[in-house]
Amino acid sequence: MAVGLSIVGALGFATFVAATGNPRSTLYITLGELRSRAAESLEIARGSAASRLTPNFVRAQTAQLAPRIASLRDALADAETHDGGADARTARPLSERLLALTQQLGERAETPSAATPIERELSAIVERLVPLARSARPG
Amino acid sequence: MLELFLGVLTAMGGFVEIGELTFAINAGSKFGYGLLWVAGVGTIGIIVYGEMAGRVAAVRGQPVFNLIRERVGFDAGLVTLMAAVAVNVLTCAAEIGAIALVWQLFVDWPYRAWVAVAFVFLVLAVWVLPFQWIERVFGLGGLLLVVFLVIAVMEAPDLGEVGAAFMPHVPALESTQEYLLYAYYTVALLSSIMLPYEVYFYSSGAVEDRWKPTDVRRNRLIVVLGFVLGSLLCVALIIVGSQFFGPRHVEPQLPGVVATSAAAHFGVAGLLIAIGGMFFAFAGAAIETALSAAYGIAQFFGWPWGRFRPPREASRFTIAWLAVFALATAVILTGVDPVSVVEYSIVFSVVILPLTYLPLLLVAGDRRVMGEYANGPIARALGWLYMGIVTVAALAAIPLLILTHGGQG
Repeated sequence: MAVGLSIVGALGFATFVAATGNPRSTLYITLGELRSRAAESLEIARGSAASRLTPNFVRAQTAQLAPRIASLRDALADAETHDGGADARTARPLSERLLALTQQLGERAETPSAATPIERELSAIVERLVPLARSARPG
Repeated sequence: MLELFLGVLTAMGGFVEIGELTFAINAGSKFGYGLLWVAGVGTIGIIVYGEMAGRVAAVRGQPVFNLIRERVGFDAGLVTLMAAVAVNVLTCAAEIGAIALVWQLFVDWPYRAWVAVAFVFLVLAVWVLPFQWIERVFGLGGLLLVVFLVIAVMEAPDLGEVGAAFMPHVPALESTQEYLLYAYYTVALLSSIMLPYEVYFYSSGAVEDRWKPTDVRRNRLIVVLGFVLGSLLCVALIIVGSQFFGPRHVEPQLPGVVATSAAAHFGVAGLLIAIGGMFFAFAGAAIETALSAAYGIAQFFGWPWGRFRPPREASRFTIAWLAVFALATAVILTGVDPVSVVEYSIVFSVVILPLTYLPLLLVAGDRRVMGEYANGPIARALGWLYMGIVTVAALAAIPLLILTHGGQG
C-alpha cells in the first residue's frame, strides 16, 4: 500500500512540478515553439493559396493557432527582462506580426489569392526564426 | 474467416489515438528515423501482452483487473486501479478535446460547444451500439488513416535507412538536453504503443464476445496481424514527420496541422480523409478508455459488467462509464490543452504498465491455471524481457518528464 501511495504521490508531484515550472520561461523552448507555429501558419497559407484547404478549415485552424501564438508572444515579453533578453527582443515583434498574419489568413479564408502575399511574409518570418531558435538551444 | 478479417482490420484501425499521432509525428520531425526502432520494440511488446490477455480471457474467461486483484492482492490492486482509472480519464479527456478540435475544422462552432456535442455523441454511441458495432464502426473508420501510409510511401523515404533504423540505436545528437529529450520520446512513444487501456479493453472485449479456448488461435492471428498492421500506421506517421514536417520546421501539436500533409498530396479529398480518420480514431479511443475504466472498476469489485448486459442488469458498470465520460468532459471544459493532457496521460501510463502486465504474465505462465494453454518458452522469455523494459521505462518516465520541461526540450 505504501509503495502504491508513493507512486500516486510521485505522479502528483511530477504534475505539480511540470505544471508550475513554467517551461516557457526557458527561452529556447519558446523560440522553438514560435518557429514551429510560424511554419504551421505558413503551411496553411500555402494550402489556402493553392486551394487545397477548405475555407472553414483555414478559419478554424488559424483560430486554433492564434491563442497559442499569443501565449508565446506574452512569454517573449516576459523574457525580455531576463537572460537572453536580446533574442527575446528580436523575436517579439516577429511573434506579433505572425499573430496578425495568422488572423488575417483566417479572415480572408474565402479568397485563396489573398493568402499569397501572407505566405511570402510568413516565409520570411520562418527564415528569421529558424537560426534564432537554433542559436538559443543549449549546448 | 470474415470475423477474423474484421477483427484484424478493427485492431489495425483502432491502433492510433491522439497521443500516438502527436508523439509519432513529432518523433519523426525532431529525430528523423531515430525512433523507428521504438515502434518495432513497442509493437512486439503489445503483441506479447495483448496475446496473453486474449488467451487468458479465452481460456479462463477472466479479464485483466480480475487477475490483478487475484494476484497482487486488494491493496496493491486498488492502487493500480486508481492509477489506471486516472490515466484513462486523462486519456479520454484528451480524445474528447481532440474530437472537438477536429469537428471545428468542419463547422466553425466554439470549441466548448463541440466538446459538449462530443460528450453527447460518445454517450449515445456506447448506449445505442452493440459492443461489436462499437469496435467495428470506429475501428474500420480509423482505417482512413491509411492515407498517412500512402503519404509516407509518396514521400519516397530511403528504404535502406528506414530498415537500418529498426535496429535499436541512439543517434548522435548535439547536447545533453537533446539526449534527454530523445530518451523522453523513447519512453513516451513506447508507452503510446503499449497503452494499458488497449489490453484492458481487448481482454474485456474477448469476455464480452464470449471467447472460448477454441478462439486461442484466432486471438493470436488478430493480435499479430492487427497490431503489426496498426504499427505500420505508427511507422508511417514517423516517416511523414521526418520527410514532410521536419524539413518544414513544423512540430505539429494540432490534428489539423497533421492533416495538411494529406492536403499537400491529395488536396481537399486528402484533407477530408485524414480528418475523418482522426475523428474515428479519437472517438474509438475515447470510448475504449471510458469502457476500460468502467471494466476495471467493475471487475475489481466484482460487479456485473459488460455491454452485452442491459444497463439495468449492470447499473454500477453503466454509471461508471457515464461518470468517466462526464469527468473527462469536465476536465477538458476547464480549457486545458488536450495535447498537454495527452502528454501527461501517456507518460503516466508507462508508470502503471508493470503493475498491469505482471499479474497477466504470472497467470498466463501458470500451468495449473492455464493447462496446455500456458506460456511456452518464447512467450515466457519475451514476457519477462518486456517486463524488464517497461519497468526501466516506468522508473525513467517521471524524471524525464521533469528534466525535459514536460517534454518540451
